[in-house]
Amino acid sequence: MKFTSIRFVAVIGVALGIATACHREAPAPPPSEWKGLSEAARPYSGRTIKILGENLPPLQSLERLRGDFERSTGIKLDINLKDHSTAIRSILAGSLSHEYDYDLVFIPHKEMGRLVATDSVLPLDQFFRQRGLRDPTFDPKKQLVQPFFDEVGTYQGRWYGLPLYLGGSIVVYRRDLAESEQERAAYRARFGEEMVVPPKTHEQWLHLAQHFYRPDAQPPLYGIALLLSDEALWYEWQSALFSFNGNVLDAKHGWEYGDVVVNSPEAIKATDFYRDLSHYAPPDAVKYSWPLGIAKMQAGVNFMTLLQYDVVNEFENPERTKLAGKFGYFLPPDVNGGCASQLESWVGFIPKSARSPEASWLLLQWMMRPDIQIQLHLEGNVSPRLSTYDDPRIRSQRPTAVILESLHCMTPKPTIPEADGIQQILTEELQTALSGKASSKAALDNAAKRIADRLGNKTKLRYPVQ
Amino acid sequence: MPKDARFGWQSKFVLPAATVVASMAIAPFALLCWQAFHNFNPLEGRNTFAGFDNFLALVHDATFFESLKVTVAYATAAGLISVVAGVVLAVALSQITWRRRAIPFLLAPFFTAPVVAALIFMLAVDADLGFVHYFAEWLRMSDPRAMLSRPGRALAVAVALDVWQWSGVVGLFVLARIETVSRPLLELVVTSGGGWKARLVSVWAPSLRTPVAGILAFRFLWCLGDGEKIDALTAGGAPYGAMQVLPIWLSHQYFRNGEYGYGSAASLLLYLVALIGAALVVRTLVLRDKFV
Repeated sequence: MKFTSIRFVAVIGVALGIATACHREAPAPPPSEWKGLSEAARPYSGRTIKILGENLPPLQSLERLRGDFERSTGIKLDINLKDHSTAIRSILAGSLSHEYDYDLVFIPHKEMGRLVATDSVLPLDQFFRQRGLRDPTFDPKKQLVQPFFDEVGTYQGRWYGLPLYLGGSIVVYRRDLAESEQERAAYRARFGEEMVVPPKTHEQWLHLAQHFYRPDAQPPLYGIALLLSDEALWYEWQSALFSFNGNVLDAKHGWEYGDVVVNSPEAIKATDFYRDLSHYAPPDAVKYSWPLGIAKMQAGVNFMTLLQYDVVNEFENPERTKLAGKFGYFLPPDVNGGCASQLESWVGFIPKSARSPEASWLLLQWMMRPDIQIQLHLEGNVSPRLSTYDDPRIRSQRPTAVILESLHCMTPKPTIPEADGIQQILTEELQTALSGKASSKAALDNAAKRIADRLGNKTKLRYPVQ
Repeated sequence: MPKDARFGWQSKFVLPAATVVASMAIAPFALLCWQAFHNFNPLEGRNTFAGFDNFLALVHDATFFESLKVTVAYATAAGLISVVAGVVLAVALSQITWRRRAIPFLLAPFFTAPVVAALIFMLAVDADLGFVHYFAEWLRMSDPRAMLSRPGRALAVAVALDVWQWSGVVGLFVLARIETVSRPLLELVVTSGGGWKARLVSVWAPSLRTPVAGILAFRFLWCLGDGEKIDALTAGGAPYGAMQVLPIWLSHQYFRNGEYGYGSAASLLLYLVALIGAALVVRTLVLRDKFV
């Protein structure tokens, strides 16, 4: 009898212990009115926000400023920086199980349709409506770059995310070489015209790559570093595609399905041009993704490279490259004499399984504050908030004028749930075109057919396929 | 113990193990079969019965066959060369008195994490930072800096990486077999005037034939599943997807496209092929009591 009682008490004790360990104390409700960040965060003080994103300057800059947020709120940040593919795979795997180990995830905006379709992220308007959690001075629709914010943060009219950075196409080039009198004279002698930087036409752009392509020099110099690896090719090719007024789907917004136009005459010309450019790329550009492409450009191996401007700080920071100060920037020219840029961002989403979604929201909102945006920008991010560019320190930075110039020529990309499938199809078909196994037209016809098959009755082919 | 004891109450002791096997092997396999016959894409919210559509689509998928081709080429070359190199290494070491001291050096590449090993090789063949292109220039190869941008060369680098990692450990297994070869038999050959060649032909080759065949089969099957190091070495299958071996192709189907049904059909097909291959190995080597 005595033994049974002890056993009973032990079982109850263990059960209570487990229950206590598993129990998560519900936070006190947030205040009914906004009384500042510290007050709003008080119920979540002592908690940790676990964050996942890509190991590039935007999130690295948050890592450096985390102390400000942690001191103001008592909330700890656990920032996990992974390479591009690992971050995306981890986040998409979480969207399947609905069991994220993270409270805030940063992922390319093209994945938004998937996250929404799998019902794995929280709409942000539910926090925005709570007066105690909303900083009344914050209004993303008015303060962030438009229509950039609508494309990267909302899906079918509903608000799901806040952009970590403003992203778009940019060409980084060696200004010191382009301004050299000797080089300009050699260019004039070769092409019978003045070197034009930034180039106004695709031909001038190609000539630049051609002129600086010196594989036999010691050390070699290559005309243009294209990122031809599996994970980067699709992004890079789109910069060329949009510069020829081509597109993949004829849709106004990323979340809309439009006719498949990826095999249009414009897209074929763009792919031919991209292939021509690739002839002046380094011999191992096929394995270039962003980190390697940036590192080689920093090392002075290439004259220019086609990137996105979330990484421009890598070229201005003397701690990162001895060539800092010698780089210049331009936007890909478009066929009408203007500029072309793709619209891109890694966006912060709050998973449904986040332990403290309110705390994650407060962090996102804090990140969008004008003073924090300026600091983040100065630390290496590219701010999605327009007012940031009024700061004289930022206005005087070399890439700023190019970034602001691009705002009116950004083309949105698909964010539908099938966006990744489209990317995979295009990557495979572009690889056949660039490796010479198929012509640009054959490869894009095949891509168009496969994309149309994939999207079923949601779309149709506009251009006939052979 | 009665002859049919395994069917009596004692069999209940097997239940925990059976449960583990069922949950760890049978359930995932059943899920794989179910997915293979469904148009299942959880990321796009698709899940309809597909019958044999996924298998038929595979037959018409050029990327799958390209991937299969490069996988088989890689597994055959890497498997064969690593085993040949291992045998040569073992025979050479067997002639050296201080061979035991060489063992850590044989094992070091094997214990290097595959991705780290791949990155070491990637740097070695890098067009600017690497050193391999100096040898390529010396050998008067065309475009010596393009080591990973040509399909044939990329395959050769991947094979070299695998041989570097595995030939030592294969050599160790073979050396262990050589060490157990009957001493009297060896001495008989030596005293009857047989030299190194006679020892190889009369003693080592017959003793090594079966274990080496087993190791070769194991290496081939192992190489079929090598994805991570090729992915790291070639940045996802460069050049232009030419090195997209089946594990990389499958990971794209699952994790990038979300095509679980299609990926599962391919996995099931490959599983059946591997099963037949393994059965042939067992039948040839084990059931004939040759694999000792």
